[in-house]
Amino acid sequence: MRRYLFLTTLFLWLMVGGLSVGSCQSTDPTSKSQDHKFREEKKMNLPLELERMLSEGEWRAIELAEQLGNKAWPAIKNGASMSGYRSRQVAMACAGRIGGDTAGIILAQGLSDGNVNVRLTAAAQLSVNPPENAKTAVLETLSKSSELDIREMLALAAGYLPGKDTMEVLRPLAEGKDVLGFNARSALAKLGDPEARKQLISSLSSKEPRVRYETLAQLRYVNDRTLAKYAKDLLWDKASALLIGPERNRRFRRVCDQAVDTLVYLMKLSPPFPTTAETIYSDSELLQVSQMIK
Amino acid sequence: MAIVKNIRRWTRIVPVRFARAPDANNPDIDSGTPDANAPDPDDRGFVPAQPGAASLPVGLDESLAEAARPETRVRLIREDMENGGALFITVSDNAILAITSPAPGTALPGQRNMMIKFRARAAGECLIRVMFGAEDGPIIHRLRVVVNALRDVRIAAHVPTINGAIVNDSTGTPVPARSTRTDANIRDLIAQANAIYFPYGIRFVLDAAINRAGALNFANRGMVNDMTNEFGLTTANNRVNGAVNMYFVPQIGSAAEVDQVGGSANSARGNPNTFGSLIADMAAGGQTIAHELGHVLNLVNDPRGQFVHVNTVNDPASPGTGREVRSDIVSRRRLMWAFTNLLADPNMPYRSDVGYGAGQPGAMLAVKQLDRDRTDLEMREVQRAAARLNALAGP
Repeated sequence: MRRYLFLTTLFLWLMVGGLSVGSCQSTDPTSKSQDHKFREEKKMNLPLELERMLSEGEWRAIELAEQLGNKAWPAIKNGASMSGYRSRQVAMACAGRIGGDTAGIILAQGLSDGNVNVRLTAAAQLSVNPPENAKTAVLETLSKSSELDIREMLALAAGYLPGKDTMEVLRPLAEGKDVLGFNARSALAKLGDPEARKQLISSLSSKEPRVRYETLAQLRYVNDRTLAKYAKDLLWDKASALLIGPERNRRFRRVCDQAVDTLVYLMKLSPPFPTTAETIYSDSELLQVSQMIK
Repeated sequence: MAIVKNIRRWTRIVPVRFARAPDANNPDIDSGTPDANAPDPDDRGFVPAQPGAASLPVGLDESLAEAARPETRVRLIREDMENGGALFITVSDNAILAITSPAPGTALPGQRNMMIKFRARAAGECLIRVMFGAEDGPIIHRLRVVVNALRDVRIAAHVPTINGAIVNDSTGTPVPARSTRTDANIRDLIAQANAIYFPYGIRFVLDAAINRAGALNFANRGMVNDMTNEFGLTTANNRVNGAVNMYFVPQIGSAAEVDQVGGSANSARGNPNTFGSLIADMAAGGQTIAHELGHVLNLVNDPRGQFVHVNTVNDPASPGTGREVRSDIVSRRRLMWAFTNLLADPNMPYRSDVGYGAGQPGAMLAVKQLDRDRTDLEMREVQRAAARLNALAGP
């Protein structure tokens, strides 16, 4: 929020529901069959439409690709090698959204693209759900790239890709005190490395509330139900951790709020209230969660 | 190299220093509007901070051929040395950038303020070195140059209609239900913000269509009160996922705050579901847009949540932008300075012009990390936040 320094300091319009576009459906059977034919033709052309969107670098292509599923691959493959970088970037996002082996090939190719936007989008997609066949590219880029933000995301990707080679790449990175080091330690913990798990658990006792808060979030990434007991210990930790909301209305999210999210995720709880990353829970909601995990 | 300087006990000698070059041709111009090709060197405390030099951010549009890329410029100023001393410029890594002026082997002109121009070749870091007497003479100064490939950040712009009770602005005119901005004006503001962010490797890309279909029913017509849930309701309106949603509205705040608040935003890192920005009609220039986009990209990234801006800290007794804790000339140069103007200081007039025009705060993001300053490493943070906007939602 910005203020101008030293500046001098009724009608309630109702939403008109009828303004929404009405669906003018005809009862004429001829018209119905024409509608059906039109819809079928449109459906048949959806892969072509996807290719057009990719060639123009339209972000709406992602939703269409998801809708098309495996039928989207020919268009996405073409998009991934188009001359415009935005086309290739959107193709990476499409591939990540669908996932699977074909996505792995395309995203691996994206990591070595000549444009940073394509590389970043590929790394971002891989950081959440990396296909196994992208492993070599992930580990190679993680160990050789000079781009820190790409490596930070790929460290998280590595946590989904078990193997001795993964551990060897992650271990030296995990010694760092920066975001890359933190992500590498989390990845090792996800892969079952005892030392990394020990460090992760000890971070939950850090004197810095923000560290406890961030570590709780990483427990969801590690995604091991046996770690829920550590989150349970922080369910009443009301230390202020992260400011949320617009600047003029900022409120601290507390360690216990993150603990709720982590417990709900790890233990697959269904509390009778909505849980979001921006919710500050009431005492009664904290109590309800604590009773659910007894 | 004659240096004429009165010394009492001890003093630091600064033969030359680098500075922003607001004018493309005249190195004597000290002040001017933000320019994508005239980045501001982060010259704060360069002696104690690694690598012992000022840090100059430079943008690189990889989609353009090298010859088509614009030249970047920076000034070299003879602070304590005479104008007659011959100075030459070299680069530690020619693969990162190529000096275009002065020509290779040519000395800089014998004047106090000198212009250096170069063209970025690849992302990475290198040093521009100032050599005394000859191209292979001793190095008397250097500048760390950080070349950043451009990361695109998608922006979805909205101009919603806000229904509610009629409120008059400070001139007594009723606040309209919808922003009076045209599409062209919005595009121009984003272009101005891009001029500020280009050196830091960020480019905001506005969607082709600006959404004017949104309708909101709030307490006051044409006003979004960001102190209430109206902020979240606005950023949820016709929201586009994977983009920074920016809402252009007539006024921000309560009825008692007309014509006071230029913009409001929350961080994409801390608020993954509602992040976005409001821009009021009173925000005339791209600097305010750029500032709010800084908040969206997680500035100020103070892990303890103390700093709201580079010069204000969180204090419940001082709601709004927080309590002011700094007013130094360097903080005034920074984009995340809390205020949109600088008050004239009759005793120290230089304080009201920090290189971006009289009364205008600057557009610099911190490149370096100085000791224990929690407002630093801004360039690193905006790049990191921008990269993650493309990521799928994690657990």
